[in-house]
Amino acid sequence: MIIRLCCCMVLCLPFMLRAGTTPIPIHFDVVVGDLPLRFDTLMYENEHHQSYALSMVKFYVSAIRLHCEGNLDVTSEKFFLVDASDSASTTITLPRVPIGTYRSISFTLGVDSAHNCSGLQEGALDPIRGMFWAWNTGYIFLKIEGTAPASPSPGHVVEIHVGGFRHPTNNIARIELPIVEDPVKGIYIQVDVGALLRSLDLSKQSSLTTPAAASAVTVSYPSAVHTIVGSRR
Amino acid sequence: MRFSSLLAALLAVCLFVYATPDENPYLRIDAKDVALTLPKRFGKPTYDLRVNPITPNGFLLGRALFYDAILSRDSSTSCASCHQRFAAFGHVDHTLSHGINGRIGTRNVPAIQNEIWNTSFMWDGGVTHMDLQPIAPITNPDEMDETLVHVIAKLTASAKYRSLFRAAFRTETVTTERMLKALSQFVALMISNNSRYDRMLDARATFTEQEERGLLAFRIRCVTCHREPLFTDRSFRNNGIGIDTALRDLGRYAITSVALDSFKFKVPSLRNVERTYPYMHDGRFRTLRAVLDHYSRGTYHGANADAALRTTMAMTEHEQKDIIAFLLTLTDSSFTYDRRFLDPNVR
Repeated sequence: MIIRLCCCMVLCLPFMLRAGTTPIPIHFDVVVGDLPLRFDTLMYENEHHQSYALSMVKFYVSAIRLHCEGNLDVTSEKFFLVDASDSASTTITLPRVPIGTYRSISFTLGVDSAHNCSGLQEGALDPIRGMFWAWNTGYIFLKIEGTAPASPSPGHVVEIHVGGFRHPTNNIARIELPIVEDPVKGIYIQVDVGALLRSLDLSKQSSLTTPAAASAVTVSYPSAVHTIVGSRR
Repeated sequence: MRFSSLLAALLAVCLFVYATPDENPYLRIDAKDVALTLPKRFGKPTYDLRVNPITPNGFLLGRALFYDAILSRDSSTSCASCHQRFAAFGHVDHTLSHGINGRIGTRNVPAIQNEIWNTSFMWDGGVTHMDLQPIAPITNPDEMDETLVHVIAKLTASAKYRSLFRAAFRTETVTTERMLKALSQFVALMISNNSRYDRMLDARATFTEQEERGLLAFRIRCVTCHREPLFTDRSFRNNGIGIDTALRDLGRYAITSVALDSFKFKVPSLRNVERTYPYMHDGRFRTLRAVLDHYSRGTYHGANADAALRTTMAMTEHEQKDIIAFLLTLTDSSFTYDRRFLDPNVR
């Protein structure tokens, strides 16, 4: 698979030749509040004093854009499935980024409506990856699963499947974050699942698997996703 | 000497028959069998056939998959278990869908016909693209209860399918995309446009007086939702039959979470309606007469029963009989007996 970095092709070519390019790794670090992510361990608690364990955290990242000062932005059109249990997937490397001053990074947490609507997709978007709603066509943008003693669902499971791109519930989120250190060292993005689950009452909201229900989670994106300095990891 | 040469000849014949099973003329598919002639009346298809052009080998792979229980978790249930050719690929005499281990679903099996003109799939329109539709029954616990990962693994392990995939896609590698595109090639050709109604429009057949009266009545009573020539306007409506308290099916609401979409279901096509009984999204009515009785009665449940029902639905006894006579002209036996859709496993 080729990552297409379109720097407006011809315009950018002389700039690339002159200044050179560099790979930029983007690291996604899934945490739960101040605690690291550890699967299948009952060690987290929300604001309702309900404890919970996590067994899966996966999400789609797409349309990554590095906003350049004085030059053209760098865009990747590729789709990435970040799976917190698979360290190979938590770092996305943009291979040939023109050296320059980048002030921010933006990306889509989810899959744009065109790729939800236009039928079969391959690669990261292959429905075989389990991030797809068969009964209500569309991708699951973010999947958080685990258990909580407070959950009334069978097996006390907690299932949060965020998706939905159609009227009236569009959960496609565009996130823009400041770049806090030289991106050549890597861009570190923290995804705080604790912030996403903090206000959910797991005795009532243990299963959020429709676009409308999942909005209870997407409202917390601003407090849950941010860039950090690499040394703070 | 004579006996042994006779034996050898017999053996040769047996071997020939065994070695070339697909030479059975009823099962053979060549280029002209997959050539698409689009009926002008139906307009431009929604499905883009340029992205997935139909080839004889793609069609053959799709047909093999459609009739193969390998797609279900316990290899008991195929697409064709519920989608029967002679019923325009609906499920005759089955109120609700049946799945593995005797599980019963919540909705009546819809017919499969003229799908390349369809804009959404399933009774609630939840599936938006024909290629993606098979994933729903394959993974639904009440239907085939299988995972895509496992289906792909089973097909990859099968020499028969590796060879069918190679023939269709020039590679043995089984992928979700290739599997679903082959199924779409098979389903795309399920076109019903040769009913007596169609031939009447083309002046190749005539209606009886009663059928003529029925068509006129149909065009007053029914055509708002069952729009000609596909006999559906593809909208979602509450037909006022009221909720089945055991199923508690909210219809379109499950997809949109909009209160006004509660109890709305897709308007089904009436083509081949003679063969797709029982009727309605939960198969509650066994006969066309019962359906017309419901609409004639004029008592509808639920606040959002469709506005079109409030106007001229009280049909007289004669009118009902005429409308049913007309509906029977929508039966297309050249579709329901089309040899291309025969089960390839039955020889």
